[in-house]
Order: sequence, then C-alpha cells, then structure tokens
Amino acid sequence: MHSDMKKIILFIMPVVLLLTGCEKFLDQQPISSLSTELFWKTAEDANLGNAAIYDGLQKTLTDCYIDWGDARSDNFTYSGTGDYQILVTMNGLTSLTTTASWADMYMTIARANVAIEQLPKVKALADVDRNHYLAQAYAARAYMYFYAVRLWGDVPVWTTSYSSMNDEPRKPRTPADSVINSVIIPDLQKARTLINKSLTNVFEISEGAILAMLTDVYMWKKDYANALTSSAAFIALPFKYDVNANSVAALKNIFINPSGNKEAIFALNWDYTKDGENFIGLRLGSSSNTSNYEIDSSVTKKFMASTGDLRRWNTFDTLLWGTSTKITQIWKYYDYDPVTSKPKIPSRIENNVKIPLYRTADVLLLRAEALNRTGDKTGAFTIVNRIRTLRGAKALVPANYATVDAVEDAILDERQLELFAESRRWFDLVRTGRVLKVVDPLIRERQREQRLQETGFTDERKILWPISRDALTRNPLLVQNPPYSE
Amino acid sequence: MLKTNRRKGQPWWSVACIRGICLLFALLAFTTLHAQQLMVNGVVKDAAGKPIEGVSVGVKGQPAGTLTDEKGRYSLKVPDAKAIIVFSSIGFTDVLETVGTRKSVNPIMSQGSSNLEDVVVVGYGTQKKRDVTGAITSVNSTQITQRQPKDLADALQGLAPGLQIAQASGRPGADASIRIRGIGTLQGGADPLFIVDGAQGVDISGLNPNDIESVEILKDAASAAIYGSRSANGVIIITTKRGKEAKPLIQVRYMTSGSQLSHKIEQANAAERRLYEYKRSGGGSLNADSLNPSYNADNDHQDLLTRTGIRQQLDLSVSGGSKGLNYYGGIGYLNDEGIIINSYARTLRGRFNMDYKPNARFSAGNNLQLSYTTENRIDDGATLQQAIQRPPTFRIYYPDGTLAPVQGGRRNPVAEALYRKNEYEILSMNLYTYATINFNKDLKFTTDANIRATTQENLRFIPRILSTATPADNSGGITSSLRGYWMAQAFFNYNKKFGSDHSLTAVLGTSADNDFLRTSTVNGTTYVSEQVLTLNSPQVITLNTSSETRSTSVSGFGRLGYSYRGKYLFNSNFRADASSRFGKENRWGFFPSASVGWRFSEEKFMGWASKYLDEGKFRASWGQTGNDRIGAYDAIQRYAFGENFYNGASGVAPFGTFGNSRLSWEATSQTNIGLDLAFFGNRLLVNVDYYNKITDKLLYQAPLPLETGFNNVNVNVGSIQNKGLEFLVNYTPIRKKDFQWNIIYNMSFNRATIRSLYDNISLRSAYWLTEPGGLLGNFYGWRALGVYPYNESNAYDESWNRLMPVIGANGLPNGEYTLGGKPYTGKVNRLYTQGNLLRGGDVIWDNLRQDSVIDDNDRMVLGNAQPKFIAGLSNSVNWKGLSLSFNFYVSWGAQIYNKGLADLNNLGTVNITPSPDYIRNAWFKPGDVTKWYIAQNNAMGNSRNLSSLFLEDASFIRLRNIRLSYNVPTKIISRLKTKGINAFVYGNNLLTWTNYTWYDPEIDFNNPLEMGLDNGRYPRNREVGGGININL
Repeated sequence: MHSDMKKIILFIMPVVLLLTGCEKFLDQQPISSLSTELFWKTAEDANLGNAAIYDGLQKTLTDCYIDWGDARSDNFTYSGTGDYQILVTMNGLTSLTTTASWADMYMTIARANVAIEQLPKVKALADVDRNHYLAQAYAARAYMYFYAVRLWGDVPVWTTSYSSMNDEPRKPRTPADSVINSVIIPDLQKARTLINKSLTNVFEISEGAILAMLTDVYMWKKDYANALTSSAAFIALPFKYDVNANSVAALKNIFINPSGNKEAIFALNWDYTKDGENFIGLRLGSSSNTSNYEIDSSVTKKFMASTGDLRRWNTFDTLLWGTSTKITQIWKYYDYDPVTSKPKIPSRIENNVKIPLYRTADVLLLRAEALNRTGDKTGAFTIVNRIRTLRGAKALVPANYATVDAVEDAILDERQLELFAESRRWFDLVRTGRVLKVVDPLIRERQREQRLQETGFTDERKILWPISRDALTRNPLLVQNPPYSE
Repeated sequence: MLKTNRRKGQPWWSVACIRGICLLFALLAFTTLHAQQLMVNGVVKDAAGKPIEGVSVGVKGQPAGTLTDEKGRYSLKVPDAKAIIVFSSIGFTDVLETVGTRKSVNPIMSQGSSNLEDVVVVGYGTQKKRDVTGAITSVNSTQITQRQPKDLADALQGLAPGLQIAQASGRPGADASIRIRGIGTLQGGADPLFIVDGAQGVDISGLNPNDIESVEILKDAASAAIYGSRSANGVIIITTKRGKEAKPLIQVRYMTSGSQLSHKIEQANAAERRLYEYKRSGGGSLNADSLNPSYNADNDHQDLLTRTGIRQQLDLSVSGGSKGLNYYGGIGYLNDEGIIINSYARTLRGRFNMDYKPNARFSAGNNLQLSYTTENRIDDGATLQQAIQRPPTFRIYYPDGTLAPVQGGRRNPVAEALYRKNEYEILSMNLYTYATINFNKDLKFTTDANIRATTQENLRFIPRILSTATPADNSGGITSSLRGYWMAQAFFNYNKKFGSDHSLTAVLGTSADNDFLRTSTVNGTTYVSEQVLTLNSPQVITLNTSSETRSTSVSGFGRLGYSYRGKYLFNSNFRADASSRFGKENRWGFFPSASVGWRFSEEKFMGWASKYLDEGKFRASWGQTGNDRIGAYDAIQRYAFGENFYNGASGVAPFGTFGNSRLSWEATSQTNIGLDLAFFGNRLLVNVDYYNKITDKLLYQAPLPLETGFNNVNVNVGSIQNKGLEFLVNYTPIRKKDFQWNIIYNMSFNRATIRSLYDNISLRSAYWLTEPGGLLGNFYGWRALGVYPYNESNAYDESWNRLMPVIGANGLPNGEYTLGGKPYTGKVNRLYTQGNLLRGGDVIWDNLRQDSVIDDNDRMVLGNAQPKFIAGLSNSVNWKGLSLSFNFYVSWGAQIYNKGLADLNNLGTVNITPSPDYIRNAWFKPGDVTKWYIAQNNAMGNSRNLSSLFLEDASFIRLRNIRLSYNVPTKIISRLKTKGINAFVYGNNLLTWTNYTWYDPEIDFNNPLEMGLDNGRYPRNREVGGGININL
C-alpha cells in the first residue's frame, strides 16, 4: 500500500501544483491586441491614437462623401444597375438606405473623445505635441458633428467616451443650433488655440483647415461677419494659401499631389494596400465596375457653356458630350496616361483617391458669398473672376447680375464647376434654400423617364436624411425625422 | 450548500477537495476484503449452434473478465456459487447465469440490437444501461456502418431523439450543425461538447466514422453536468474501436458512389428572358442586340456547372491482441468529388489505439489520430448564385472553346469554378495517453493527457481571366492558422458493493486545459506568374492580418451514485470550472446535478406484469450546466490595430465590442422526466423523455446605441427556454434464426422561447424579431396580399377596408367603387409607400397600423423557423445473408426565408434573370390579377426584405438512406480463407417530399439569431453507390 500512496502522490503532484499556480494560469492577457491599461503611455501611442481618428474620417467618408454631398443634388443622376442609386437620386431615401447610417461617424467621434480624455494623461509627451494632437481631435470631432447636423439636423451629442457599463448609453437628440454653437464652434476655436501653427501637412488638420472649417460653419449659420473674419485669417496665414492653377496639369496636381500645394488645405491620404477599397471608384467610375452615378446633363451643359474652361477637361471626357454614351467617369482625381492622353482610372479596389476635404478655392468662394451678402458685390466678383480667369473661363460682368440673389446664383454656379464631386453642391443648395427649386424639376424628369409617377421633391422636410433603422432600434430615445417612417 | 469565497475568486473546496482526495481514497481502499474463488469454464454458442468469438464473460458487479476464443471457449474465476456470470457481445442479448453447483456454463446467445444490460459510457466512467438515470441515447457501430457515412454528423442524423443534425451544404468536406434539444443560447455557441475516448478537444472532422465503436448522447443536465461549463448544449461521447484479445482481424472496406444534383431549380430559358426584357421595358424593346452572339445563347447554367461527382472510400483496419496487450489500427482514404465541377475534398484519416495491461493493477495506453485533408472549396456566390442569376442568353464559351469573361456585371460561373482557387490543406494530429492503477477491485486511479495540433492553410487566387478590371489583374492570398490544445486530467473511480443490497459508485477528479489559436492572412495582387502562387509572387502586398488568442481553464469534478438492489437509483454529479475567458470577479462556476431512478418492474406489486414487462424504469433529473463559448478576451476592454491605417501609421482604436469585466457563465438548468419500458423479451423498447431547459444569464452581444461609438457589448442577461418531448420506440416484430426485422422510430418536439433580454430591448434585424415572450426564429416583415390590378384598386374606406373599383363599359375602372358588393360613395383613402402612391402592379401590403403609409410600423411576425417536430424511422430486415435497411428523416412545420428566390426576383439589377414563374406571371397591364408585381425597378419596395412572398414551408420527408447488403455464406468464406465478406449497394437522399422550391429544405441551425435563412448554398446531392467489406 505504501508504494501505491507514493504513486498516487506522484500522479497528483503536477495537478496540485497546477491548481496552486491556478490564478496565474487563468490570467490570460490579449496576445495580438492591447488591453486598455497598456495604451496611451508613450509619444508613439499618441501618434497612433491620432491616426485612428483620421482612419475614422476615412471610413466615414469613403462611401458617403459623394452620397452625402453630391448625389442628391443636380450634380448626378442614377447609373449602373442597382436600385440604391435610384432611391438616392429620386428622393427615395429610407431608414434602410446604407448611407443613412451614422455608425462610422460616431465611431470617429468616440475615437476623438478617447484621445481628448487620454492625451492629458500621457506623461512622455511634450506639451506642444500634446496640444497639436488635442487640436486635431477637437477639430475632427467638430467636423463630424458638422456633417451630422447638416444631414440629420438634431443629433445626440457625446463629448466624453462611453467607458463603463454603468454609463447610460442612450441619449436623445440635441437641437442642431445648440450642437453648432456649443460643440462645433467651441471645439474649432479650442483647436485653433492648441494647434501647432508651424505645421502645414495637407494630410493632417492644420490651422488652415481649422479656419476653413470655421468659415464653412459660419456660412451654414449665415453668420457672414464671422465667416469674413475666419476667411480673412485664413488668407493671412503665413503659408499663403492661394489659387494659382492655370493649366490642366496644375489643376490635376491639386488632387493627385496635394502636398505643399497652395490650393489644397486638407485631404485624406488613401492607400488601398492598407485601407482597402475606396468607394470613390464604385461611385464615380473605375476600370472594373459600372459607376453608381452619371453626371447630370444639366451640369455637363454648364461646363460646355463655359468656353475655354480648363475644369471641364479635367472633370470628364468631353468627347462623349452629345453622344448616347453616359458620362459616368470623373477624371479630376486621376493622373494622365501620356499614351492615351486620358486619365488612368484604376480598378475599384485599387483606388487611391486622396479625398479632398478643404481647398483654397472653396474658402475663397465662400468668402465671395459672404461679401455679396454683406453688400460688397465688387469684392465678390473680384474673387469669382480671379478664379475664372485662372481656370481659362471668361470673366463675368457684374452689371449682368442685378440682385443679391442673382450674384449668389453666379457664385454657386462657380462653386458647382470648381468643386464638382467634392461633397459641396448639396450642402450649398441646402444652405442657400435652393433645393426644391433646383432638384424638383430634375427628379420629375427622371421619374418620367422611368415611367414612375411624378412626385418630384416638394416636401422640404425631406431635405434632412432619415435616421437609420439600426440607430432607431438601438436607441429608443431617438425619434425619426418626419415624414420618414420606413 | 457549498459557499464560494468571492474575495479570492476561488472556492475553498476546490483546493480542499483536491488535497483531501488522496487521504479519502486511500482509506477506502483498505476496507476491501478478499474471498475464496471457483473456476468455471464453457462454450458460448449462438442460436444456430455456431460458437461465438469475442464474447465478454465476467462476474456481475466486477469490472474485469475474459473473452471467448475463436471456438467460443472461456474460463473464468468466480468468487462463489452465488456469483452470476454475465455474457455479453455486441449484437447479442446479454445472458446472465447463476453458477450454482455447475463447473461448466454453456449459454446460447440470441441476436438483439438493443440491450438493457449494455454498458453505457458516461463522463469519467461507465454505467450499466439498467442503472442509467439520465437521458442518454446510445448508437452502436452497426447502426453507423450501415449508412456508409462520410463523417460523424452523417452517421448520426435521424438516429437519436432530441438530436437535430443538418448539413450546412452539399459541398464535399462541409461541416454540419449538430444540436441537442434545441438551441439554448444566442451567441454562446450551440455545438455540443465532444468527448473522444475520454478526451476533450479532439478534431471531430478528422475522425473516421468507421473507427467508431459507440456514440453516447448525453442530453439532460444530470448526465452532462459532470462536464460543467461546456455541457449546456449536451455532450456527445465517442468511443473508438479497440482490439480484442484474439488473432489479428483485418478488415478491408471499399466503396464508391456517384452523386448528382438532387433538385434542380426551375430557371428561365432564353425565350423567357426575352419575355422578361419585353415586360421590363413596358412592352418596348426586346433585346439590345439581336445579332451579337454574346447575347443570344440559350444556356442551362445548372447543367453546365454540375456533374456526377464520384466518391471513393477505402478503409483498412487491423485489430487484435494478446494477453495484456491489444491494438486497433485503422487508415482510411476518402476522395469526394463535389457535384459542382472542380470541387473536391480528399481526406486521409488514420488511427492507432493501444492498451497495455501487464498485470491486474496497472494499465496504460494511447490513441493516436491523424488526418490530412486537401480541398477545393468552390465559392458558392461566384458560381451557383451567378449560374441562377445570369441571363441564359449570355454566352459561356467563345467559338474557339475559351471561356467568356464577365458580361454585364454577371460572372461566368463555369470560368469561376474552373479558374478561381480556394484551396484548403488541413493537417491535424491528436495524441491521447492514459495510465490507470487499480489499487484493488474497488478503487482505480486514472490520469490522462490529450494533445492536439491542427494547421490549416487556405490559398485563394483569382487569375487575370476572371478579372473585371482594365487592364486585367490577378489577386490572391494565403491564410494560415495553427491551433494547439492540451488537456490533462486525473481522477479516481470507486465502485463498491456493501452486502447484497447497497452499491456505491464515486468519481472524483480534476482537469486543466489550454487552447491556443494563431491565424495570419496575407493578400496580394499582380502576381509575377500565375503558375507560382506562394507569397513571393504578388508584387503588391495588400492587407495583412494576424491574430492570436489563448484561453485556459481548470476544473474539479465528481460523481456519487447509489443503488439499492438495482431498484432505487441515485446519481449526483458536480463540477467546478474556472476559465480565463471570464471577468476576474466571476471566474468560478459551480455546476451541480442530481437524478433518481426507480425500476418499478422489480417491485413485488408489479408481479402481474412480469409476463410482458421485462423492465420498467422511471427517471427524474435536475441539473445545471454551463456555456463558456465566448471570445477569449470578451471580458477585457481592448484596443485593436492593423485595420486602422492612416498616412503610414497603424492607428490604434478601441474594439467595436465593449469589454465587460463582469462577464460570466451562461447557466442552463434542466429538468428531465423519463420512462424506459421493455416488453415481450426485449422485443419492444420504449423510451420517453420530457424536458424543460432554461438558460439564464444568456451570453450574447447586446447592441449598443451607435452614438456610443461601440457596436455592441457582451452581456450575461436574458433567458431562453427550451421545452420538449422526445420518444423512441424500438420494435422487433420478427426475431427468428434466419429472419429478423427491427424498426426504430424516434420523434422529438422542441420549442425555444425567449423569456427575457438585456434591458428588454428586442433584437431586430432585416429578417427576424427576437423579443421577450416570442419564439426564437420569428420572421418579421410585411405581409403581401396580392398585386393591385388597376391604379384605381388602391382604394380604401375610412376604416381601411379595401374598395373594389367598378369596371366600366370600356373594360377599365369608371371611378366608382363598391364595398362588400354595395356601391360606396364615401371618402376614398389611398395607400403610399416610400413616398409614392401605390399603383397597378404594386404589391398590396397588409396595412397593420391602419394609416395611409406602408412603413416600418406595418411589419409583423410572419412565421417561424423552428420545426414543430423532427422524426426518424429506421428499418432493418435480415433474411439469411441478406439484409435491407432504410431510414426516413422528417422535419415538419418550419419555415424558410427563400433568399435565393428573393434575390432573383428583386429586379434590382437588369442582368439578374428572375424565376420563370415570375416572368410568366408578373403584372403587365391593367386588370392583371397575379401574385407577382410589375417587372420594373420602380423604387416602390415591391420586393422588400422581408416579404411574406418569399417565406416558404420547409417541411420535408426524406428517404435518407437505403442499403441492401449480402453476407457471403460461411462455406464460401472458409474456402476463400476469409472470416467474412459483405457486399452492399446503397442510396442516399433518393427521395424527398417537400413543397419547398429552392435547392433543399434542410438548412443548418448555426446562429439562433439567423434561423431559417436560405442564401442559396451548395446544393445537396443524390448519391448511389456500392462496396465490399472483407474480414481477413
């Protein structure tokens, strides 16, 4: 029996040892990801946390950039073979429209919130760097909320991160005005004071980008005085942002090589090998798939009517003008192939378009609008004609534009040609109250063409987007924008 | 009750128990006594007078015995004249003989398929079937080999009540879903726990079904609870074959079969396609280009894409043993061609089991399992879906025989099947080793360890010929993974009889395991050469991902069983588990269970029935089981990287799933009441079980408001109930020497209901509503009531009763209406949807909310994906050497959302061709009365998800398997110097009765939140084959 006992002990020993070391054995930490306590420690952590915010901007805008800012306007009509585009271009949005989801947008906001909370705790970081990162987080958050209020109106506001199961995860919508005045503008102002003014990297938020955003926000608010102040500050920046492209090659350079370019303020640096598919290809033309959208003939007409305008050669294949072929490829983002003298349009998944978020021409034309609205017609036309002359178009004669509204129409037309497919036109129409006037007749024409009943765009409430069904189901405090109910 | 010490996170008894084991069991070991012994010998024969080899002979109540030799002879030491000798062998009814004064006992054994004296494998030991108090179903090797199964799931379908098995697809090498008593979880993983020869973590797909000796299905909590936190979905215990002490037995099995698509979907031909184009254009243009040969073919894509797939299987096994050593070795090769061209799975599976028993005290052994699989997994989406959707008029081949490229956004399914690579290479190894010491005849100690390593490599490649880009480019990638697992256990078994009335069994043990998984993927484009697909070939490396996880657990467990005269039975299991997956505060879980049995047929007052009733047992059990199948780090809030790149920096961002540090076990309590009856000399056996299984602390990913920036959070809130009844009837109408007939029928009813959810927030998706109080698998959407014949038909009175337009002299509505046959002059209401007025040709939706808009508020529960019952009927008839067996499988009352059809008929894309039924019957002109809406993409949501138009009844009856085999007579066999030859022909899935229109109504139940969705997967095949088994 003695030897048996020995055997038993021999067998059991490892197990007993195992159990005494049990807590250690059971404490398994993530291997290929980081637990929260291990991050936000070093200067490199701050840099990588910051990159995640920009990644959020990219994820949000890759498929929504055109759909939010252009597709519902007179810039595009449906193309391709799906019914998604038909719904978007014919005022048929529903809560199931994929681009009605704000998931990625709030994910980006949450990343910015985490950075704003954690950056002050990172000890190994020089103050100037910390402030620069903080400024970018504040500005990115403001930029996302600015898109949100323009699309959905009132939206829930999160300025801290959801960090504990005890936090209430549901918040109701905050009025849009309050979001603009107590989140967006203060965030941008804070960002301006914190930003490192010596850095002008076009792929990051710089002081120029912050001032461009402020101009944009004030114009949305119709606060022309502040828009003028912000745009004046922008023009006065030591980097000397200005328009200067007066050839097709120079114009193209703004998009394909924005670094150091005085016309480019802020663009997202896409790399398909790391970031995956850029949806710009699917929306605006690729070498592999049919595009979702076709340029609406009302725009091509404007381009063709603008004699000598370089921007039309940069935007689409003018040889197709007047033929039965649909114009579905937007050229401005791609380099020329010297052999074919046409742009090299990549396949859908190999698209590297550097999505432009702010350009000098945009800020200047907004300034022109503000000047017009504040009684300086001459100043407005000086800006418009300076840009037109550079781009090869004929200067406009101010005397032909009698009213303030007529001047604004001219500026908006200029913005449409200059900023075509840059997520501007829809918001310009909304901002200046022109949606129904411009879009309704086009939708009626499209509906006739499709043998659908003619409903047009008559309900102003449909200017706002519907809230996605997913968001409504997850948060019962949200109330859908009327009249959307599906 | 035992208390847990919360502060330390480890219960006091987990340590105390382990430390106390040695002492306790050592003391018990001294209490045994030794007695005087007698010698008995004899010969065992069957009814025909032929000696039976390999019958196990032993004294009742004692573990070790002996086996008969090739002449049926045995000799055995028995303690005294009162001893009862038990003779048992698979396929025969056990014989019990009291020794008395005899020196020689010569029993005759009769054949029988099920037996109450059989031994049942339970967790960490065995039990006599008569002593079982839980709900356990056993399946033996005869039942399995009859079916020519490819894998375990194939072997078990329809054989056991409460077991629901569905093949995910007909793809060779495809996994199946195996569910025991419904699904009691949302996202905790619904697979049962598999135990192979006592070990966890063995690769089930690497197991050759021909190596299986028996399968036990532990269904109730009382049986399963000894496996604690992994047992909530039930436990399947597999015992593989072992050698017997005899001359080597060599078995050779060969079979081959051919399979074809079992059900072809009705598809539009070229004429119908043109009719569709005519209707779609509103009667305008026919074909874009009637002279271009690219658009004027008439192809049957399903015929072009499928073939007769050949399957070949060769198995070889050698088994045998001498005193103290036995072995079983098996090797099998399966070459399974799929019915889609170019699909295949080739598997080599090997096993070697060995037991070494040098003396009565010590034994040791090991099981080695190896498998190697290569497979080309055809992409269903790029082939089958395209074959169904692509216009039949599009060409597949050019005149020179080369394959046509993508046309109008539709892929060429034949080119995709032939050129797109999705190859898998899987190598899996499993080594199990054990050692046992018998301290005396009552107390035994076992320690074992299991080690597994599985590597898998998946190579994907899309050559230039399939590219849609200009210029064409190729792309591909490789994903490789390594899974490592080890487990170690140590436990005591104690079996003791006190006097003649009381017997006690006990188990006490401990175990630990560690599971590791590493996966990495590299993708690239622009390969240097399409002949070289290794990772040095792509010139552009695109997205790389890599992940590693490790989880560990430790456990203590035990069982106590007591039986009084074999009449009153009691069993109790307990287990304590701790797992690294859970939050520190909630790391330990405790899983108790108890069951009682009463063999009332032993009672004196049942004497009147003893003429008919051989056995009657009433069982009742209750227990708690757990589910630990969540992600390795779901309890930890984490940052992710590798997918958040910006401007050259790899962004680090919080995971989309919020980490919940309070995460704990999913706990399932199950009550089971059962009755086992055996009549007429075991010719009629009946088992009935009722169960009520309630899962609390439901583990699932509860959606968070998107505004938090998170997608969801893993929670432990909510409850699901599974209630059901299952029974099995085993009847042998004829049991004669040369003629036997056996029927087994089993049937199960199960209902899974949601009792509560986190914050009582219902889970709504595009297809399902999962809400407290509702059934699991409720389809949620709009009810289609038909199609408006005229624009004027969209007319309702003030309370939303439909008005009928009056048709005027010109055959068109004249603007007047009737309600219930009487003229209506009141206000006429109209219905709108998606901002537009519904018109002739649009679907009439059920206006649930009774307002003027058809919107989200008009969605309702339209049906359910759970079957009302499933049943299996198997028959086997033996006449002399011939035997015929067949079995039916029934699943009744479930509904399926036919998404394949919905995608086909949604008109979203011009070049998707709808079903011929749609094309012929789609609304075309005012006055058409039909169920199919207008053939126009008019943005009216006529084909919205989910519409009752695509919900179909999925009931089916299937002749699952039929087999005719012939045993070559002994005379011929002996002349051929073999021990047995059996030749057979068989058919699988020969007949199915169903109203379901897509490929197959049998779909898997993987995700309880996505039940009953048929995406149009790889179709099932109809298989006919034959083979031969030779024993040497």
